[in-house]
Amino acid sequence: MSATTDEELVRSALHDMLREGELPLLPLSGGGIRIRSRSRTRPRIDPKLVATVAAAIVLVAVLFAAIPHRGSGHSPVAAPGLGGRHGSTAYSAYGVQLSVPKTWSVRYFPGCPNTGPPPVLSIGQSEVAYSCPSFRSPTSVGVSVNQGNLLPRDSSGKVQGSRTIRVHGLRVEVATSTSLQSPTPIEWYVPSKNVSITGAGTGALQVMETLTSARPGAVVTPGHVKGYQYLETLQQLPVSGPITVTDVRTGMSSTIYAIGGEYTFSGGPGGYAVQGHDGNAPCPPVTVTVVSGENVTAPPIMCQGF
Amino acid sequence: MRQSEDELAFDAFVADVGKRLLSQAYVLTGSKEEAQDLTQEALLRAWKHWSTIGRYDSPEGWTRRVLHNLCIQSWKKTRRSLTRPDGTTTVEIPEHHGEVAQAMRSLPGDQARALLMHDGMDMSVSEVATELKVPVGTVKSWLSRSRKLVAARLEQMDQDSKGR
Repeated sequence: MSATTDEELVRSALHDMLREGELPLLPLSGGGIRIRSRSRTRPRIDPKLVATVAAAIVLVAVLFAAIPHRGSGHSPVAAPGLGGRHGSTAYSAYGVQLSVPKTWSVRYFPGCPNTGPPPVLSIGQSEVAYSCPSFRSPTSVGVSVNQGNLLPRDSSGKVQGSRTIRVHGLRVEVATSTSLQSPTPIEWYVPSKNVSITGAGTGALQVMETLTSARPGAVVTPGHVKGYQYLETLQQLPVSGPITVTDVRTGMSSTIYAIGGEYTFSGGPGGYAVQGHDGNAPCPPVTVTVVSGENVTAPPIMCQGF
Repeated sequence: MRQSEDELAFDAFVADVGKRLLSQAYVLTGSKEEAQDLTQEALLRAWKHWSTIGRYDSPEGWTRRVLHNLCIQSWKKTRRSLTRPDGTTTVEIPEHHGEVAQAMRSLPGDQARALLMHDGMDMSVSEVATELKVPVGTVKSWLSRSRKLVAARLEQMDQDSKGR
């Protein structure tokens, strides 16, 4: 290709991309930059002071080592808290992970985000969440993790006064709360994972600040399955009764019950065979793939009545 | 509260150059989110040193240099994180225009900057040479070489997409 054609091609590609790149995701203003700058300003530490303190620590350590001690036999134990491994458990969902103290309870797909005695970590939005009095935020102490962007928006669809922070490398949009709820909810959205995290009350922010990308070792959120069982005669009749659910990977089975034809179960990610029973009528099994943190509807079980 | 002269000048500066810087970061990273983050970072640094750079003939040049360096540093991080066990790399850019950004990333940092400034931002060869602190001849040689590489890559990607 000639040099002129090369230049034309490259110029055209760059100009096109520069035009597209001028559209900011978030407003860029001098005022916003200055506010961010203030929040990032750290007090200057005098190097002489650091040297003096370091020397004092070394001196104390040397003196301490020189004095004989009666051994207590106890090894040091980290205080229970969010910062240490002791006393907290990591839960992953939708590609992110939060660590909560062991005193917190964890609920998957709760009816409403703030069900159960606080503090509670709610993971996964239930199908009825939108009917809850305040589905976005727990009204008592707790943190809720949901898929999608649930930040409050104005009538034009813009997120209300959001600003961006970084938490352990993840970019987080923080909504400025206009809620009159007490305690005031903290509302975050992680664009790279399409996850909303809301929290309120004592300890909620500390839990939210443990946010990282999901890592191996965290408790994986199960998926939730809903399905129906019918008897196919002249018309489809819902069938109640036992249903066998088998984990395809491990071969382990358990029995659940369909009521009015409907059944639900939760399980870890993977494939499940679901076998219905209706007297002598054969009910060919159906398979369903459970996805972590998601509501899945299984294909209907059709028992042959003819 | 009344704004100081510095604050007013910086606000006007951001209003003037913000979008230009953002679009350059987009070309160099291929990601709008990353471009936004890095542009904010470059502007933060500009504000931190505003008492000095605000008096420069071109505060934009200073900020642009910071931004380009941040973008090129970010390539290294991405390359490292996407290195396969066999040592090969895949820099997947999910957004639109990913192919341009990938082609730019295949160049040495200074050559990518020269190409962006000359072919993208229509700066003259001597302006690019002054900004990059290299002789005019070096810029011309970089432009010729990098243009050929990027054009070949764009052509190749175009053919690959047609072949699919």
